[in-house]
Amino acid sequence: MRKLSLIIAAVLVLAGCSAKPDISATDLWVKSSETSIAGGMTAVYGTITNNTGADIVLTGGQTDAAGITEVHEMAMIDGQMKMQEIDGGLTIPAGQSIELEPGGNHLMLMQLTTDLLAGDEISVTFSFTGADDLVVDGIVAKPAEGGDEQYHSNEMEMDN
Amino acid sequence: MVTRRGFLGTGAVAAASGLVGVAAGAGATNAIASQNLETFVAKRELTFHGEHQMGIEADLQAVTNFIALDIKPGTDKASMLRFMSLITDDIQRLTRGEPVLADPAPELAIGAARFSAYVGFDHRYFRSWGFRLCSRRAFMSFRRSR
Repeated sequence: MRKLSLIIAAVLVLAGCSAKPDISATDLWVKSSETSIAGGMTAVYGTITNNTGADIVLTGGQTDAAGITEVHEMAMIDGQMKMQEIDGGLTIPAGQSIELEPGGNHLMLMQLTTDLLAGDEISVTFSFTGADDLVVDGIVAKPAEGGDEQYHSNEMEMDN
Repeated sequence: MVTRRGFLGTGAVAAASGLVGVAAGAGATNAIASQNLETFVAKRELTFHGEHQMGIEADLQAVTNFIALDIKPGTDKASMLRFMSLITDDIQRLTRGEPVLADPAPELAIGAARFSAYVGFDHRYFRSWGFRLCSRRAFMSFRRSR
């Protein structure tokens, strides 16, 4: 009898493990820079995966670290790449992942409530249409090279 | 290859007292055999967590860098803990052959290639930062109790 209950317990544990969350977020980080100070702004990057069989939409988020949290994209506006809020959010197709990355889509944090120094950690709640909110703790602030560089070229460099 | 002189010469290090020692080894960087061999070599991994400090049981590495950094004056416990957690995460990812977070060139991470890294700090800092030091005897009895 004891053995049987152990087996049942093991099966229950296995069943618990195999249930994939609807949404998983990996390799999340928030940028630490000269603008990531109280009152300033920064962004959260990483990979968000939709494990469900239906499309979901990342509509925004919430964090104690910022007054405003919005899903942004980089878009060509009047001939310049600028960032703007994505109308209606960012769709994650069924079973697929999206990358939030410097120079691309990102979760913008504005009106920061505190300085974000390299190595600081924040919690962010991601909000979706079609899925429950996802709370992620321990998103680490990291300085980053690249992503928002000001590229400018002259003819000398164009020869390369 | 970053030499100590070359590294310090970049001005990346602020003058200060104290020393941080970093030893990083990457095996197989000079492997020039077939693609298969390259992949095989690149995919070999060492374990970050274990009985001993990382790399101490590893075979001789093809390349080892020793880097010494000064710690800025006024660096406090909180900022050192933030630094330590960032560098720990970086090392863990590199030992798995993965790009670090915020990696500007993630495509370069093709494998661990037996990467290992070991970071040491001058013991004086542990006192000035207020970390609790544990005697060798206490450490050994902790080890035995596990």
